[in-house]
Amino acid sequence: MSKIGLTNSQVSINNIAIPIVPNSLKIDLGLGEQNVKATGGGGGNSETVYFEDASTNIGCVKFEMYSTKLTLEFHQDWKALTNANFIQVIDKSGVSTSFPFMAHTNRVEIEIGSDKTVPIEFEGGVAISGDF
Amino acid sequence: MSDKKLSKEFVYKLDDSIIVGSGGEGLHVNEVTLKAPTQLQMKERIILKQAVMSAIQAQSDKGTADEKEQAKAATDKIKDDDAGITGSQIMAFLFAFKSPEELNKVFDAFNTILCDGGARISNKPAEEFNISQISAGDIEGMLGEYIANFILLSVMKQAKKS
Repeated sequence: MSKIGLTNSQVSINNIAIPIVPNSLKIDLGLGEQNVKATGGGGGNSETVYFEDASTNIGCVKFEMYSTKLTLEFHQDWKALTNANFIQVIDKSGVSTSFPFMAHTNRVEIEIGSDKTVPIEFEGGVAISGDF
Repeated sequence: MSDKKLSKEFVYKLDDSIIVGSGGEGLHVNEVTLKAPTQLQMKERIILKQAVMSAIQAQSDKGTADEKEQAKAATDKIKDDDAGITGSQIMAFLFAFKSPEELNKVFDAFNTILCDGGARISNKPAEEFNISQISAGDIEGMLGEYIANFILLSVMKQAKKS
């Protein structure tokens, strides 16, 4: 099993490699939330009941980009595509993950100034993992 | 002078498919359409053409007696329009008679061509990210076929004149 950390991932959205701020990438595979409840059987016996909350099965990709003209253009293009964005995240360690049918969901405020960054968020389909 | 017309494009079938985003989902694609070089790719085209011609010359100058015979046969084949020299033969030639540094320049030039309008995937211009997913074996095969289809004709014309 690989013990190399995920540190240097390339993000591609709709087949275009995106210049993101290093160390800003976060991904949620969309495996959702689960709950475990205990049931009492009397006499000190208990069993657990496992619940899966399918409403939380949403893949998520978040990262930051520097405030540039390119960022503005990407932001507009991704919004225009609604939930038809396809995201691929490929890490140098060999992890490869795809996110289908992603929508650019967050409201974006472009800060004008030196070293300003823009947070970008996508939500959509559950991730499809590639080679590990 | 050859009457053979230069083809405008051809389709290369990949051995290892790549994933291309389209309409929100990832599609497994195993075909790349390669287009003939234009004026915009003149610099890269020169690198590829010169690599082939200098490889033939190197085999002729430095090779063993058998290899010199093969170089002559290759040159004759190139002059013969109907001989059908293949992409894999071209690549074997280049690997045998070009140094690693020269081969790196050839592959860099080809990569530039692919990312600069020379390739289409799923009816759209290929993006650098898609090209980077193509396996090494497929890139080698594509380069050989690209040279065979687009570069060799002008090499044939010059060889006929000499």
